[in-house]
Amino acid sequence: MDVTISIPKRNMQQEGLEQAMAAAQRGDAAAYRALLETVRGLLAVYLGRVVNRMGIRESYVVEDLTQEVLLAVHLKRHTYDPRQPFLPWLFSIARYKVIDHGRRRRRSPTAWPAEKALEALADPVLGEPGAASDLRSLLDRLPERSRRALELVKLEGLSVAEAAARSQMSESALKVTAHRALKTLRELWRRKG
Amino acid sequence: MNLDGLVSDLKPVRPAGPPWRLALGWTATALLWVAAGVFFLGARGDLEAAGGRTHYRLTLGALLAVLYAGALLALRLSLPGRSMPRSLRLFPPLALLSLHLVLALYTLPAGSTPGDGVMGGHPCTLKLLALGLVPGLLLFAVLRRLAAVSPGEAARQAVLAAAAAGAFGLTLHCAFDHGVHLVLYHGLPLVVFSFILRGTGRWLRW
Repeated sequence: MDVTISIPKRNMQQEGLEQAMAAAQRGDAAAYRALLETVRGLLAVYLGRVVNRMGIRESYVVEDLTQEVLLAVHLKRHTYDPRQPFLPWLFSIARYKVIDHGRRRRRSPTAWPAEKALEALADPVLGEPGAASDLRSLLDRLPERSRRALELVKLEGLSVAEAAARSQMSESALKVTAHRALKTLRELWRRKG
Repeated sequence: MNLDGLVSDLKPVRPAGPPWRLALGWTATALLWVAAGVFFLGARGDLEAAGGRTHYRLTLGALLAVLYAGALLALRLSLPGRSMPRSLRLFPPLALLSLHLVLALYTLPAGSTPGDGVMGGHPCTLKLLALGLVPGLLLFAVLRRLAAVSPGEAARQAVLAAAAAGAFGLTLHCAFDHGVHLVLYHGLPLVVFSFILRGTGRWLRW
């Protein structure tokens, strides 16, 4: 798959990204929040364009990819060198995630996305009984902690705060656990298909 | 996406540092392991005399350069935003490796035939594997902590670097300076391993 990166032109707001990321690496929460908000905007534009060029029409893909890239930025923030420009680092991660998504999609182009399946499973009227029972069996293969996090957020529709309180995890731990569980579920779904 | 979770999870982190410094640290550790391995296996009896020969010193230098260049490239490919053109990824290690093979070919003991070096060299390749295994695993552990944007290519360079560490140790241990033996059992495994073990890149996906 050919994914061309066109890095947005630098503007005044982006000039401070290097300093904001360096501050975030030192643990400055305010700088980190400002950085993530700017990054989310940049990613929405970039990923929207790339996804459109790939011929993908499902609107949730951009949202899903943005989420994946933001999580990757968070987990891999130690790989950023404050003496280097920030945007090539960010778009390098975004490009990797897009390619990874394309690879998964190529392997199972007709697979029902796990997110949609979860939505259907949560809806007893619209949900397909066969797919729902398939998905239930896949959910049962996840580790207890991951399955519970996913069920609380996606099936029971609780807010992150409520789900975190119920599962006795911090909100961030719950989000990371649910995200990873979703990723595992997607992989299991792909193998099944 | 709600950013609150990510912000509340923020803890100070130490930047990984530039790839050249990481590669230097790994090279030093790999050489320590190799030195221990050579101490255990035994250094070649004529090490002092061999060290006086120019081609032997050049061979060691070429292997050391492959070791460092491979590690440096693997690390560069595992730090987002530091990628480089595809042609540059392979050129330095392959050029250095070619130099090593050419040097080896010029080594043919007096009175021997090329065929003398063909058979019975497999213990050398096994020793190369043993000497390179731990440095290789260590390099993969470092790479896994980073974020390889070209996992297959990073794995290939890492395997090449680790195998070069093994070949470096082997050159200090094996006293059979026969060109054909050196190419077949000391040099060629580097190329073969780095190509067939490219699939280990899947361990570097994140």
